Formats: sequence, C-alpha cells, structure tokens
Amino acid sequence: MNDQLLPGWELQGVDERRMKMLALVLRDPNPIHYDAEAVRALGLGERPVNQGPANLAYILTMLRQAFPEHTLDRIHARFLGSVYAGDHVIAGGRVRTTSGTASGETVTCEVWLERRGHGRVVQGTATLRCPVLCAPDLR
Amino acid sequence: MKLKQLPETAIPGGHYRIEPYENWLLHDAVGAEPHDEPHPIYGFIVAQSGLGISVAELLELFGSHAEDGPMLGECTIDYHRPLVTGAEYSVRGAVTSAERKTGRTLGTFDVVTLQQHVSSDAGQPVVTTTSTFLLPRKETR
Repeated sequence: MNDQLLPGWELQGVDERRMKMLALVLRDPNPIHYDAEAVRALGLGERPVNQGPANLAYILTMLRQAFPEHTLDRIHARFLGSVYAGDHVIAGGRVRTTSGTASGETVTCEVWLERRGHGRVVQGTATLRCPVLCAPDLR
Repeated sequence: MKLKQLPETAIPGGHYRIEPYENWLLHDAVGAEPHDEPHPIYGFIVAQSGLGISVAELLELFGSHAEDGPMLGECTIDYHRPLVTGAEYSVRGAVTSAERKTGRTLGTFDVVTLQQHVSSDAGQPVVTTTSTFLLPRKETR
C-alpha cells in the first residue's frame, strides 16, 4: 500500500455563501472571508479568501472517504497559499508508511490541497489507524 | 502587549458544545455530506471557539486586528479521543512562542504559536491543537 495514491476529493467552485456560513460558525470576524472590498483594500486579490480551517477540512473529508473506518490520530498542515471564492480545489494524498499490529494498521499519509491551475496551497501529513481490511480499495 | 511577554500571558479558557445542527451546517459549509459524527475539523473549531475569548479578542491579545490580514501558517491537531455531538468540552490555551520575522511577501510580521487543550467533562484529554499565526505588522515596535 506504500506510495498508493488516495482517491481525490474535489470541490468545483468554492462557494462564497458557504464561506459566510463558516465565518458565522467559526465566529471569525476577518472581513477577507466575506467582503471582496476588504480583500481588494489589503491587496490580496479580487475575491473573498477561503478560511484556512475550510481548506484543511477538505483534506479531512478526503481521508474520511479513503479510509471509512479509520481513527485519526494526528494531522499537521502548512498553509502555503490562499483559496478564493470560485476556485476549483482538489484534496489528495499518498500513503507513505504502514505498520501493522494485531488490531489493525497505522498509516501515515502525505496529504495536500491543490488549487487547480495554481499548485498546492496546503501540504501536510496525517497519521491514522485502520482496522484490518478497512480500506479494501487501496489493496 | 510586548511580543516577548506573549508566552507569559494567560488566556481565560472556556467551554464548547458541538450542537448537532451546527455539525450539519459545518458539513454543508465545507462541501461535505452531512454525517452524525462531528466533522474532524471540529478538533480545530472546538479548540478555537471554546477558548473563552473570541477570535477578535485573541488577535487583540496578539496586538493584531482582522483588518491587518492575519493568517494561519501551520496547524497540528492531535486527536486523543473521539469528539461527539452534545458533549461539553473544556478548553485551555497558552501562547508557547512569539517572534518577529521579515519576509519578502509579508514584510515585517510576527509568528505566534498557540497551543490549546480540549478535555472532556471528566477531565480526559480529547484534542490538542498547535496553531501558528502569521501577523503582518505595518510598523516595528
């Protein structure tokens, strides 16, 4: 399973209205997430900027789909760039190491979020535990 | 607040409960299919939202404001126990480091690392998050 690419998870068109909902859930007052004028004033572009936790959530959703029965132990992420309203993003990953025990496997994956046409905007590592045969599509 | 004093600064701490309807809305907001179990990004959200102060107040503690363009640079979430909806969690946090840097893109900026511990009502560790914030500075102090 080492070096196995995980099935990607895509979102075609990051929705500005969903960013506004997330600003409420997070109680995040940063106007760059809901006010394009604030984004322009800061010289960050023309469209609202997606929240960092949303970008990380896309990766976590990808992992949940790739390993339906997994228990997540850790995720580390570096935020390399911004995602803007309307962007097409693809969360991906690759298995790097596995180690088996009687109760299952510990799997370490390189994970990322790609902003289509602009490269990776989040890069990280996830460690999770799977019961034996929890991810038959990867074998 | 001086930068070097930040690691000594107490953060009040607080509580957070993941309401089932908020979990549904959160899934929708990040484009995921609704799920009864909390989305794993709640590891970050509980730590941040249960800290006892708002994001705006946290930034103010750092000497920053939303209008300054603060950014999340790195984040690590360690999951010790599963998060569940309806449970009451306690959160405490502390600044673990703060330093000033200069870069080509941001100019002068501060790098502040915050560690937060989420515990169950029985006192068992549930999640630990370590977040690094990048705070652009228009002027040096």
